[in-house]
Amino acid sequence: MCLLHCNATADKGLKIVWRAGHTNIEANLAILAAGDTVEQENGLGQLTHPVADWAKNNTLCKVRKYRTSGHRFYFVGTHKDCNYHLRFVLPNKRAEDDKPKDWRYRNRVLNAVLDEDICRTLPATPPADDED
Amino acid sequence: MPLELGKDAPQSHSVMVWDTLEQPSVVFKQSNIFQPRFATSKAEIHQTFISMVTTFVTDCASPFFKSSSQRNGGIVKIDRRYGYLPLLWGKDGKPVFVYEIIEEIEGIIDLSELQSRLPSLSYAQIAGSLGFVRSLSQFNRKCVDIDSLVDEAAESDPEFLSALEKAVEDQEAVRVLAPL
Repeated sequence: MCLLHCNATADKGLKIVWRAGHTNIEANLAILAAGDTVEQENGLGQLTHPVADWAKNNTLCKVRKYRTSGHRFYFVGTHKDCNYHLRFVLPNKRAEDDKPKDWRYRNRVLNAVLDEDICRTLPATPPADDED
Repeated sequence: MPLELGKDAPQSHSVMVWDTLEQPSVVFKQSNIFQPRFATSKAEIHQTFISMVTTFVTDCASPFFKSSSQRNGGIVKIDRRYGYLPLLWGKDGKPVFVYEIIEEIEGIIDLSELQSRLPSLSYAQIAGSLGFVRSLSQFNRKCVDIDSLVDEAAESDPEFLSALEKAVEDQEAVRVLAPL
């Protein structure tokens, strides 16, 4: 059973996640870490992955990321150490309770998937009917 | 039907498309499909891939998502005008993506309780399945990886990177997280 530690910065992030109503995430992360052993990666280690863009960054190359509920959790450590260290939490936009930012985020998603032929501004109301 | 394959199963050929407004481009990553014996130029690869995706979306995925919606009251909208990204219309007239609902479920679910109902599965399998459902609900006709799209914006911010580097170097643990 591996352990999950957190530093002060990550602790602050976890509090934001908690305030957003995602009160089980912390316990879930601990349970996932406990699923790993020195011999086997059956828990958190299986779900985390390195960020490709940081491969050449001496500090960040060892960071592994796990995404759940739209929050991003950044860890160091592997199941071989049997200790994971949560170093940073990037809460999702809704947790930040910042409506203008939230709206920009949704616009960004929609702009990326919208048809080229269609106006890229969002309608104020739902379309009247579905279109094939 | 999605199945979990054992370690000996062949690696799937993954192709990732990044298509943003600012810089429309198609990038093939870790793909074994498009070896030189199948295509001779990047343009040909691009065209073949776009054609495959379009056929798949039009003939298979989009009808499947639409009929799934219809079987469940037609509440989830699968609309070409919104790139077939499954969404709902809020009371304020603004769209809410279905994957946001899955994200909320991920946040409130108790993994230990769920695992007690499915004792043959590990916690990671259950958490991984939820992530899989979230990814499925991000289906869209342009195959935009929405998680990556959102994360890349945040993770390329110099302010964020500097804060993360500082946090990674802070090795002092304030506590050990414990299951409830």
